[in-house]
This record gives sequence, structure tokens and C-alpha cells, in this order.
Amino acid sequence: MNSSFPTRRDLLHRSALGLGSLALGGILGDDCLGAAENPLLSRGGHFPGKAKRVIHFFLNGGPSHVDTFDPKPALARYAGKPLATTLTTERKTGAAFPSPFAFQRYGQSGIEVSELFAKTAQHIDDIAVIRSMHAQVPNHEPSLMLMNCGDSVQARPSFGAWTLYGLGSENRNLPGFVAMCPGGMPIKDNENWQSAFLPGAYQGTYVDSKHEELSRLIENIDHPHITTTDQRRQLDLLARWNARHRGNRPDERLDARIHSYELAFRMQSEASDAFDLSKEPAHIREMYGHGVHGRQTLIARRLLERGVRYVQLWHGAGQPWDNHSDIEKNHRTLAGEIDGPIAALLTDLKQRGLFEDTLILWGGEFGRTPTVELSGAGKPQMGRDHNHYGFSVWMAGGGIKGGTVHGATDEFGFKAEENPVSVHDLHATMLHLLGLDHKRLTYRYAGRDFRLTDVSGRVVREVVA
Amino acid sequence: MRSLPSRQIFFLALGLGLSTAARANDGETLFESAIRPVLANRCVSCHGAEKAEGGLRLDLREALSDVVATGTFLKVIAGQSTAPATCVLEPRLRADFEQWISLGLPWPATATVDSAGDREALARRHWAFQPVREPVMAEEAGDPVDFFIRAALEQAGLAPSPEADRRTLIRRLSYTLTGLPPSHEEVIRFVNDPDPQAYARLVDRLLDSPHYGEHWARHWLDVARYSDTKGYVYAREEKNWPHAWAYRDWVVSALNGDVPYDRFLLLQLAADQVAEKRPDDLAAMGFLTLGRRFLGVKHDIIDDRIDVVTRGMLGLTVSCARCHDHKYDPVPAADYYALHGVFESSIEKLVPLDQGNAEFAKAQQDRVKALDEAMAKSRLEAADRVRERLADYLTAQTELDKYPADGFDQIFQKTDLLPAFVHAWRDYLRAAAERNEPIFAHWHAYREATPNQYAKVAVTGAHPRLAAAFTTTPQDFDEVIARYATVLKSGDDDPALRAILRGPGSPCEVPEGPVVNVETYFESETLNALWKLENAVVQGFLNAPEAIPAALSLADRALPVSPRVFLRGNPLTQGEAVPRQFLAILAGEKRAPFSVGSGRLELARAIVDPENPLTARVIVNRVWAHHFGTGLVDTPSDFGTRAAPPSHPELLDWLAVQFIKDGWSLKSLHRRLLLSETYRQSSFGPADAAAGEKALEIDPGNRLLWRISPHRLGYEEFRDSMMAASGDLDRRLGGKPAEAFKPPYLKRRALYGKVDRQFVPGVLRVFDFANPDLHIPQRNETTVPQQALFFLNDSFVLDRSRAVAAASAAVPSATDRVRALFRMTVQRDPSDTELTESLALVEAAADPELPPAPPITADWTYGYGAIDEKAGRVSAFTPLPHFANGAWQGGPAVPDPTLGWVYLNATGGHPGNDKNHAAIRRWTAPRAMTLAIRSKLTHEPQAGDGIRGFVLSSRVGLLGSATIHAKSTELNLATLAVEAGETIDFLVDIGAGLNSDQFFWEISLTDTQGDLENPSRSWNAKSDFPADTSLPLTAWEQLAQMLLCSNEFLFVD
Repeated sequence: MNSSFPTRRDLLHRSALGLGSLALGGILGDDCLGAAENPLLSRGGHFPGKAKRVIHFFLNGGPSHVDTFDPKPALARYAGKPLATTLTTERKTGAAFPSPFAFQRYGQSGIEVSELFAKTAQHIDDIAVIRSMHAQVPNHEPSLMLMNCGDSVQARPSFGAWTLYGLGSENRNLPGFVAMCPGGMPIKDNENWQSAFLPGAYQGTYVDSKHEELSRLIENIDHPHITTTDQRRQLDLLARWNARHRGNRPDERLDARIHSYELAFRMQSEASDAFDLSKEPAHIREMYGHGVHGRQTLIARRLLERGVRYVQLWHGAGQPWDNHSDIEKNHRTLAGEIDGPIAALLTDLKQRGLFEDTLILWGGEFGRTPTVELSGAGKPQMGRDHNHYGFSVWMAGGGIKGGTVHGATDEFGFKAEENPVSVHDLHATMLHLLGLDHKRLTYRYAGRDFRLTDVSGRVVREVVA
Repeated sequence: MRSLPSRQIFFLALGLGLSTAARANDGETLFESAIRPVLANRCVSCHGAEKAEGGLRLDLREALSDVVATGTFLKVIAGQSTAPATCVLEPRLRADFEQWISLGLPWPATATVDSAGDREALARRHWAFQPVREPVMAEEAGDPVDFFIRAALEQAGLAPSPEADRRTLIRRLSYTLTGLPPSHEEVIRFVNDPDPQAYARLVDRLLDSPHYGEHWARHWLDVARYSDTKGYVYAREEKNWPHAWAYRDWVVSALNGDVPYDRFLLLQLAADQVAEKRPDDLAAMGFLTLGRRFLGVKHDIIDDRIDVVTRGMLGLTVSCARCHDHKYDPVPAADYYALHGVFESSIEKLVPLDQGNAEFAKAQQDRVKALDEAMAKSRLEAADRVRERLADYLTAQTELDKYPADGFDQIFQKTDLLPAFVHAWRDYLRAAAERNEPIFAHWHAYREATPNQYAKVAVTGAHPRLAAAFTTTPQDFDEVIARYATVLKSGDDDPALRAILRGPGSPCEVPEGPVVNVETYFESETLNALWKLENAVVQGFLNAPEAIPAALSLADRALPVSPRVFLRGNPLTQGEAVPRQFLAILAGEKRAPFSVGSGRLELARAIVDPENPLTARVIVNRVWAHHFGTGLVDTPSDFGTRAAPPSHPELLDWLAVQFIKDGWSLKSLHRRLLLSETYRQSSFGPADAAAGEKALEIDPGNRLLWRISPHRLGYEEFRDSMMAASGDLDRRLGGKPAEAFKPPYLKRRALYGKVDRQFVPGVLRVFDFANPDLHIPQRNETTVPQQALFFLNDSFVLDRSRAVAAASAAVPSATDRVRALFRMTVQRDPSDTELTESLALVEAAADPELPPAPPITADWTYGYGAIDEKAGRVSAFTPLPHFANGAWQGGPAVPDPTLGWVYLNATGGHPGNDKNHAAIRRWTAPRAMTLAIRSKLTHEPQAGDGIRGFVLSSRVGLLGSATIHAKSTELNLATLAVEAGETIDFLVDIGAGLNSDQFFWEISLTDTQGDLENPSRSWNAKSDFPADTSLPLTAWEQLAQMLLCSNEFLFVD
């Protein structure tokens, strides 16, 4: 039902709750604040979803599908020769450029994966690869916006923000949507996890996972200027003043604010726990690895198991996967940084019983050309240009039919040909897995009911278990 | 699932004239006013004569009656079924249906339900599109605001609340008009003022305050999606707007000067074309030009402008019609593109509003000249390339699908065909066909035929040169192209042919306008060069030593664009041509195409026409909403057919009429609202408790105004109040934006803090600041724990707590000091209980300590001492005693009488006055490890003789050193094994003498071989440096902080 989501009007007019909640004013438990007071209150979706939370590995810059999850032997046959059709992309590309990486079949399903993701491929029977993704233009900025927010240009809420709007968060002491990127932000910065016209509380909280100290991970979580005892004494005085002030003022916003101080006081200790990897046993830390990606992936798992709804793990600042040149060396390094952590996460989620209701998404904003990129002077750069006509993503976990390949690009991997899947389709499918109907998850803004999937989107049933 | 109760249901039950249904006491009227429009607009597109989905038709009473009987209908519209979300109706509409069903589905025999026709009819009847009419009022009705409010209250059986006390009133008025608290003295003076006119005088005084304009400017800046930056841009473009702050200052000054609102709007849309104006009025155009840059994509920039104008000024959502006719409001796509044409016919123009000093003026002139010359040269080269490759561009017309639209960015070489010119040719050829241009008669004739029909192609009235070229039948279209290329290229002596390749309007020429308007007409290398020069001009303004205001104005193109509808919003699929003109629903029958230039001035005049039913209503409602919490129409930027009707329609109209009669004076409007008894009510509700409970039950949302809804301070209000509490607020007006989120904190009003739409700081987001990307009619108001964390731990609040406590430090007795703190923060004296409680806190917290510092930060210490150069050791190290303004130093001020100039901050510092007072940043190893050290020491001033820097280990001795003057040097060490407790000192002394010895030292230390127990760590002198929180909050500071945290501080009764 639409009415289970706080509407703009509800958020603007807290008093929609009326007298009923005033009567409860004296016994302020966590749940006495309605969604209008705390927009992050956990709530059910349109129907029971298979997935409760999402982790999104964002390979920003655009990983090459023909070098990872979409083998194209035809490229070897045409090596160095021009293809019959070369589609227009950002830059000029030349002849067919076979993948320098070896592909191999894995698991019962026998799906072919390149050596770059050999560890992840051990889980292939739990993974559904979509090989027929397509976006709209061959440029990073609009494609990032499309993949994250469902619109290339206009300011629209991100997938994580929509998810929080639909489901709230299950942990009141942590942000519901966390975006981690080590060393700085991806291009388009905060826009990638924006809340746009949705309330600010739905925006992703950016964490520079290069850091280890909690105070640099969550704003204002530390109180280095005062001891806990002194702060408690302060808050006791404040509570007395605020209770007296509340008196007979008919305004439940006052209660909400009184309550928020207590919540904040508790957050200070509880949040630090989530980011503290020293609480993990050595063999787990070993499994994830000690690099920054191992660490951020392990933090992500700790957040997910504490009820954070959506975690996005970016590869790094800027656009690391944007390998216009020397793709062999660059892709090998990048994949080497995340293949182990991803495989570890899948193993770890399974052993903790979290795999079944956690949706894992892997992908970039687009793929790369099967043809070799040329310099201005026409010299091959041994890299690939952006390709929005066809690329791959994969999903695993909550509600996903493992060991599946859906759709296909053409013989060379230039364009999605069989069962093309748009970004809106991908979003519709993910929302569906979370128990949300993408056509009914709407928000009234500027006189119109907006959707993540705008006016399109089809649930890709073929990858749903 | 929980459903939130809706206010609308309650109004319906009361029959207060707030629901269409409530007014209808007769079934057929109910059908006409509430049921038929919904069936027509929301149901019959799927369940009608054309498409009866699920075999169901809702345009026939019998069919509808069947599904009503089974109960399905009500379930579906309530969302209790699997039917799509579009079938679910709002509670207000559901209530209408319930009532209608209870009446037995009255359906007049002649009534038909037809979506298209009805939508228009409904729209024509929609209240907001009706002329504003002055309601008739009896002479003795008294204050009209009170009259209308009381009437509705009485109808609901409710009574107003008594007048609030004077302390409340002055706080309420001060905040609503200026966004600032009154001082305690002002409160006392007002409370004790015997003059019965004291309240009215206070209203006048506050309206005359220059801070009125600042506060109300911020409301308008929310509407205007204000930002000081362009948002994400490609690396080639400067990201800061040079003109935004001048627009902000213009708004402040216009509001303070009570510029009539119609003129206020006129200038923001067309100041460039208004004859009589002040020179700085051009800044008003910032309203249109300070939106997001959308990566330069033209149609998105225009869309943003259409949106801000229509929603901001008219309360109408026109942007919906970008892709298709508006679903609910009578705005066809043709009207959207009529406005699109107005803005596409306008180009940007950066105009300085002040020349600055002679030196700046000259330098700026040179930059502009360099840009203009390069632009002229690049234009010519670009056009020449098109003319050279004429045949290729003509060939491109036969394969248009190869050329993507604006927004698909490719990197182009000079040898490439540019899609922009391909599309310019497409448009040119289409226009030629439409006016039967003889030169292209052959072109179109052959284009429409296949080569085997060519023999039969006959063209009459062709241009003689082309007739001559086509005396023989071409083989194929390539030959047609070749002949055209030849004729056109050799047509220089024929004016008609020449005009195709040269001069304004030629599809070979780059259209007029600055870089942003013509980006796509240049290949990448030229474009980057042009941006560089354009940036130099913009940066000239940004970096000017004095603030130089500039306007980013619009100017009409010499040749206005004839707009076409883009089908589904896609510029590659163009539909019918439309004239540039105003919206049909507002212009009515007298609508005529705009005739002057772009038509922007005509558009502006149509918006501020007193006959326009929306403009006055919309602004009156905005002002109402800011004073009373909720608008009479509770969707301030949407007055369309989907918006709920006004709670007090006659009052809205009365206010709109008076507003226009008062010469569109906003200050007069404020007076009308604020002098009413309604506004002066208490927020506690009626004196009688039972009456209060009844009111809460019947109208919990207070739409009827039986009391005043308390106001929670927004971000700017509480920030300014915290500054004002300690007396630190710098009340000067205007000027360039400044960093407001890092210490030392900006002491000016929050209005002057820089708004970067790409990096909106967490605190703004957390406190529901208006998203600078979107037109925000009303801010959200949420309560989340992050807000409480801010009040408890953010260094800004701590800074304010310390400042407030410091401002009361001179008060000798503890009791009086508590009193002073209460007066500074909540403008009243504490009660006896509060006094006792406060003193108890002060006593209990008398000796505050710091919690243990987190590792990493704790590994650094900051001190002074000397180096024993022979031994290669630090011979003395004493920690610096005082922390202030983000630095460890000798005392509260630098130089300190005893320790002199020595200080250390996050990025560097200054050595003391002699070699025994070298500045020493000391790192102590928490454990044994292998370290890599990277550092860069910089000394900038030309004056003096420079400094000496040393890196020393307590175990090994000297690791590196440098003597530098006005330069940088790196002091690095690839690997160094250290033991637990070993110190590494970064020492700077004055060298030969004390003169201009301040320095910067970037330092990072990395543990290169982290193991499992101690994962690899790194230290950084800058980010590990303590914030202003590194001293414990004293007892008085703790008390001051709680006052700033209190609900009394944040809420205004």
C-alpha cells in the first residue's frame, strides 16, 4: 500500500499522528515515533521480499565485460581486423581486440568466467549473470547517474535512498545507507547516493574506508571534549528542562527531539562497534585480506548484519576501472584487489546464514568496447573505450536463481542482442527482490508521482528464483 | 502495514468547505464536482470505451455499480488489492467516493465521462485558474484575516486561543521577520512598553531592519534553487558561479526596499530588456542562470529554467509536459515547447556590475579580449571546416541516426563531422522545405523519390543555378549531393546561395553565444582552449582582490529559435512547430505569439499581469505559509488540479486582491498578516482545557488556526542564534560567500556561507536545508539522531558553547552568571529550580577531564625546544601550553609575552623567537614497526632569511634537514625501523633571524609492514591534528551547551 510510506505531506506535517501518539508521550519507546518523525523507521514493503538488504560492488569506471563475465571467442578469430560494425562511443576504436585473459567453466552450471574473477567464480552456481545490460550514452557521468538514480541527468533519488524510503532501516543507531569508497569519492561525488527530493535522511552516508578511526568514518560520533560521565550529567539536566518545557505544549515534535538525544547518546557507543574490525577473529580477517578492499568488504558485512539496508562499495576515487589503455595490466591489478574480498564475502554470508536474504550486485556504469581504443593519431592503446550498448552485471543471494546466464550480446560483445535488459529493468528486479513493486513505489514531487524506474522497467523474472 | 491517518478525512467529516464533496449537499453536484472528474482523469484511460482493461468500464454507471456492489471497487481504490498503484486514490478522493456510493451512485442521465474533454473542462473549472475575486464583506466584519479564520473556526465549533504574552510575541515576530532572536534587553523593553501600539511599532521596526531582507531572501533562494556553484562540470569548466552572490545580494536589497513584487519578478526574468532600472538590477537574472550546469546539455538547462519559473512564480508544474501532455494539468507539450523556445532564444552574457580598480579592470579587459579573439577565430575555422566538407554534411542527412543528440559526448578531432552541424543542416533543410525554398526544391524532390523514379522527378520554380545543375537526371542521391555541393560552393556571387554558407542563420556557422551555448559546435581541442579562456574571465571575478559583483544575464538571440515539440522529450524526434507564447490555460482566448525577440519580456509581463489568476495567489500563500507554518494551499508550488483546495479560499482571494491593490507590496502584506489577532494567538491553545482537547481532536494539524503552530528554527536560524547568543554575530550585509563549516567559524549570518550544490555538507543535509538542485517550496522537517549528535559533539556547537560561556565569564557571582547565560540564550531569567539545577551541574563538573584520546591522534604531541646540532638530538622538549583557534601555542594570543611566536597548527606553524624555542611536532611510536616518512616543508615569504627544518629520531639521531627560504623541499625516508616509544621530531627554528618565519609542513608516516594484529596504519600531521575540541569543556561551557541544545532554544512558541 502506498500509505505505508511517509508522504511528503506527512513529513512536512508531523501532527498527522494526532492525539493518539500524544497519549503515548510519557512512555517513549523507539517505536512510538512514527515514520513522520523518524523517516528511517523500519517497515514492510508491498509484499514479502526475498532480500532484506543489498550490497553493491560498484566497479566505477566501467569493467570490461568481454574480459570478465562475457567470453567472446570470435574476437580471437578477428584479432587485429576491423569489425563489420563499430558502434559510436566516446572515442575512436579500431580492430577487434581479443581478451588477454583466459576463460574457464566453473561449477555445475559451467558458466565461463575469466581468470580475473577466478575466486568469485567458485560461487558461480549461486550467481546469475546478466550479459545483456545496456545504458544510454557512453559517458561516465550520465551512466553513473542512470545506474544509481535511474535518470541520466536530472537530480533523482538514488537506489539506496528509494530503498530506505520503501523499507526504512533496521538499525536506528547506524545510517541506513552507507557508501564506502577508499581514498576519495567517485566522479559525480555525492550525487551517486543522493536523496534528491526525498528527505535528507535517506541520502547515503559517505565513508572514506581508507580510514580506520571511527571519528573519521561517522560525523560527530566521538566526544573527545567531554567524558561520558559528564555528558550523561549534561543530558540528565537537558532532559529535565525539556520535560518541563514540554509541559502542556501540544507538539509531539518536542518529544521526538527529546528522544533523539537519548538515541544519539547510545549511538556513540554502538556505532563504534560496527566499524571495529579488531572484534573479528583472525581467520575471518585473513579470509577477507588485509588490503583496503578486504577491510571495507568486511566492514560492509558487519554493517549488513547490524541491519544497515544498503551498502555500496566503490572501488576507489575517480574512475579506476576506466582502462582506456593497457587493459591487461590494469584490469588484472584491479580485479586482484577485489576478487578475494568478494569471494570471502559470499563464503562468509553463506556460513552466517545471511546469504539467502542479502542481495549482492556486481557491476559498473557500463562495459567496454570489444575493439581496441585508438589514440588521436590512430595508434592502438591496448585498452578499450566505454560501451553502453552492451555489458554485464551479476547478482547473487536473496531471491536470485544461481547458475543462470540471462541475455547475450552480439558475437563480439558490442551490443546487447538477446533479451536486452535496461537499467530500469535491473532496478525493477532488485526492488522486486526487496518486496517492492517498482510501479507502486512512488513519491509525489512537483505535482507528479516519481518512480525510480520512471515510466519503464520490467522485472527480469528469468533471474529470480 | 500501518497507514497514517489523513487530515483530509477529518475535514471531510466536518464539512468545512475544504473538500469538494463537503460542499456538495446534493448527489448530482457531488458527482459533477468530485466523482466525474476523477473517473475521467484517473480511470477511463484504462477502463473506458477505448480500452476496457479486465473487461471493466468505468464510464458507465451500470458497470461501475456492479464492482461497487461486490466491494471490489472500494478495495482497489484503497490499495487493498493487487491492482496497480495508479488505481489507488488519495484518502480525500476515496472519501468522496464513499459518500457518493452511500447516496446511491447518483449519475445524471445526460452525464458522460470522457477523459480528454473532461480534463480540459475540469481544468477550466479548477479554482486556481478562476480569476481572483474580491469576496464581499460586511463593514463591521473587523480585521478580514480574523474574520475568515474565525468563520471557519466557528463552523467547526472551535474557538481561537487567547493572545500570547509579550515575550513570546517578540520572539515570534523577530524570528519570522528577521530570522534572528531579540536581545534580552529588547524583550524587557517590549514587555514593559505601556504603549498599546507597541506591537504594531515592533512590526514596523522589524520590517525596517535590514535583516528582514536577509531572512526573506533565504526563503526566495529556496525557491530559486540557489547555489554558489554549478554542480558537476567536466574538468575543463570552472565550477564556481561568478555571479550567484550578486544575485543573492540583489534579492536582499530588493526585499528591504520593498520593490513591488511584480517588478521583482519582471527583473528576474527580463532585466536585460527593462528600460528603466538601476545598474545592478541586471543581477536579478541570476534567478534564471544559477541552476545546475547539467554537463552543458542545453535542453536540461532550459528545462531547469522553465521549472523554476513556472513552479516558482506560477505554482504550476509545467516541466511534466516535457515528454507528453501533462497528465493532470492543462499544460500540453506544445505549451512547454512554446516556453522552451523563449529560453532557447536567449543566450548567456556575463556582465560586470563594477569595474573594480584600474589594475583589475585592465587585466579583466585583456582576458575578455583574449577570449573574444579566440572565439571569433574558432568560429571562423569551424565554419570553414563545415563549408569544406559540405558534401559530407549533406551525405550525413541521409543517415541521421548515426548522429547522437546533445548529451552523448564524443571526443572529436578536427577531421570529424560534428553532430551539432549535422543537426543544424537537418533543421535548415526542413525549414527550407516548409517554406518551399526554391534552392532546395530539387533536394527534397529527389529525397522523396527512389533512384528508379528519378526520371519522373519534375521541379518547377527552382533557383536557376540549380535548374541548370539538374538538366540531366542524377544516377543516385550521391550525385544529387555532389551537384548541390558544387552549386553552393560556387555561389558566392549569388546572395541567396551565399546566405546558405555564410552569415547569420547559415547552418555552417556557429550560432551566437558564449562557450556554454555553443560547446557542441567545436571539436575537443578547440573547445578545451576556449574553456580555458572563458575560465580565465570567470576566475578573474572569483579571484578579484575586492569583491566584484557580476551578473550572468540573458540576452536575446538576433535570430530567435522557432521551437518544435520534441516527441517524448527526445530532441532527435521532433514534432510540430509551435510559436513562442504563454500558457493557454492562463492566457485564455487572447493568447498571441510573442513578437519581440525571444519573447522573454512578454512572458514576464504575462506572469505579472494582474489578471493572471496564479501569480498573486501563489506569493500571498508562500508568505502565509512562512508565518503560519502551513499555506492556505498546502502545496505552495503546486496550484494545479491535483493540489488540495485552499483551506480558506475566500481569504486567499481577499489577500491576493489587497496585495495587488497595495501595489504588490510584500511589506504591506506582512503587516496585514502579523497585525491580525489570529497571528497573535498563543500556541498553547484555548485557555479552556476541554476546548483545547476538542480542537486537538478535530483539527490536530491546526489548519483552521485555533492556535499558532510553534516554529522549529531552521538551520540558518539556529546557527545565527548561536552566533548572536555570545554577541559574536557579524551583522554586516552582502558580499562574497565564505566557508562556514570549518573553524574558525564564519561569524556572519548563515546566508553568507558558501553553498556548493555538489558538496552539500552533512550538517545541511541532516537539518533539511533546501536541496540546491531542486526548487524547494517548503523544507522537510525531520528529527533524526544525527541532529542530536551535531548538538552534542560538533565542533561548531562546542565553539559556540565556549563563546557563550566566555561572554559571561566576567560576571562575578555564580548565580548571576547562570542568570546571564539564560538571558543570552533564551532571553529570560531562570526559575529558582533552574538556577539550583544549573549550579548543581556547574559544581559537579567543576574539574572536567578529557576522555582518553584515540590512538593516532594521541601519538602526536606539540611542543617547543632546541636542537643540539652536534649530538643530532633534541636537547629540550616542552609541550605548548595553550590551544586556541586551531593551534597549539604559548598563550591565548600569538605572540605570547613569554613564549613568543611559536605555534603549531594542522598544516604548519611558526618557530619561536630564538633557537631555544624551535617549534617541534613530535610523533611517538606506539609499537615497533617499519616506517616510511614522506614530508614537504614549505617556506613562502620573500621577506626574511628563511627557516631551518630537521627530522630527528630519539634513537638514531638526525634523519634529515634543510635550510630554505621562499621555497619547498621534501624530507623523505623510505624505510626506518622504529621501536616502541621512540620519538620522531619535526623541528623548525628561525635560522639566522626572526622575520617572516611561518611555514607549512605536510607530513605522513606509514607503517609499511602491517601484520595481522596491527594492520597497516598511517599517520598524517594534518588530519591527525586535534580539532578545537582538544580541551575539556569546562563546567560553565557544559551548561551553556545545554541551553543551546534545549527545546526552548530551538522552538518558538
